Amino acid sequence: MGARNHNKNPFDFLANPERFMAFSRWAAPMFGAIAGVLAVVGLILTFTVPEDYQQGDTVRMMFIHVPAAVLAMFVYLCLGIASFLALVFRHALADAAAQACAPLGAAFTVLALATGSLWGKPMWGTWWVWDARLTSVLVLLLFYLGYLALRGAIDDEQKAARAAAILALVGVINLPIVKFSVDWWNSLHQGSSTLLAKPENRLPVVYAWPMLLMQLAYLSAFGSLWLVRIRALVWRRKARSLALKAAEA
Amino acid sequence: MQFDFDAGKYAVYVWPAFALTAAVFAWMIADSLSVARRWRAEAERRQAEAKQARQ
Repeated sequence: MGARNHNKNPFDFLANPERFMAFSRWAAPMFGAIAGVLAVVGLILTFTVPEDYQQGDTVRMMFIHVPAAVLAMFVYLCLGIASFLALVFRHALADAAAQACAPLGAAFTVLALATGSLWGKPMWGTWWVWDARLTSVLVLLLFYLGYLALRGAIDDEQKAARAAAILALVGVINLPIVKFSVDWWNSLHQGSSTLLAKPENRLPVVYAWPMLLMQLAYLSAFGSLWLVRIRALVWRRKARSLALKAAEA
Repeated sequence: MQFDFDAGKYAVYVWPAFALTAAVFAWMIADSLSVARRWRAEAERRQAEAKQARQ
């Protein structure tokens, strides 16, 4: 009865390493292929839409900048949830999921900052401004780098995982600050212009399609690479455990 | 449908942004695959050694 109730836990399906490896073996390439197709169609639309009457050709940079910024936050949310599950349930796979997130999230955050800066120079007249949105995204990058540094600095893997998970959870506080910074403070950065924004702020349909496709391409690419990196950590764990057994024998 | 690759005076900002994005994605893909291959090979090697030791 106890075992049956245990199986009803929604995390059980992927919490079992063997089941996860079987699932990710086909899911990782599938997400990768979906990302590739979406990126090709998204890029075709990116270079066929008309230039914006205000931004000119720099509008094409929005289709690579906005998805990177959204992923920077989304990946951190995944890092926070996985860290919470690793801390509470002490599950190795949740810890691997958290660890696998960090380098990818840091890469997306670097992309968001760099492409934003390249857009900001011609549009705002400056590469960087210490405004709430830009500064909070920089803080997000520092949390990613802090997480990676902490994991690398402590030799004891369990202690490193615990310390890094706590740091990751502290960093979750920054996510609503990043998201709502343009509403809470006066900012040079524009507000939301997605389908959920006020009608007068929404993207024209001609730009919404490449934006949506590129967003889904980034999301699928992250899904694929996340699974690949978790698989690597599962194998690493297995290799280390076998090495330990061999040393004990 | 007509492609417009002429970014005019903004080309100096637009193309580096796309080049950087391509480079970062290339790094993410290459690093993820190489790390996965390395640890898979290591785990399989250790497993084969353990099997041999049992025999």
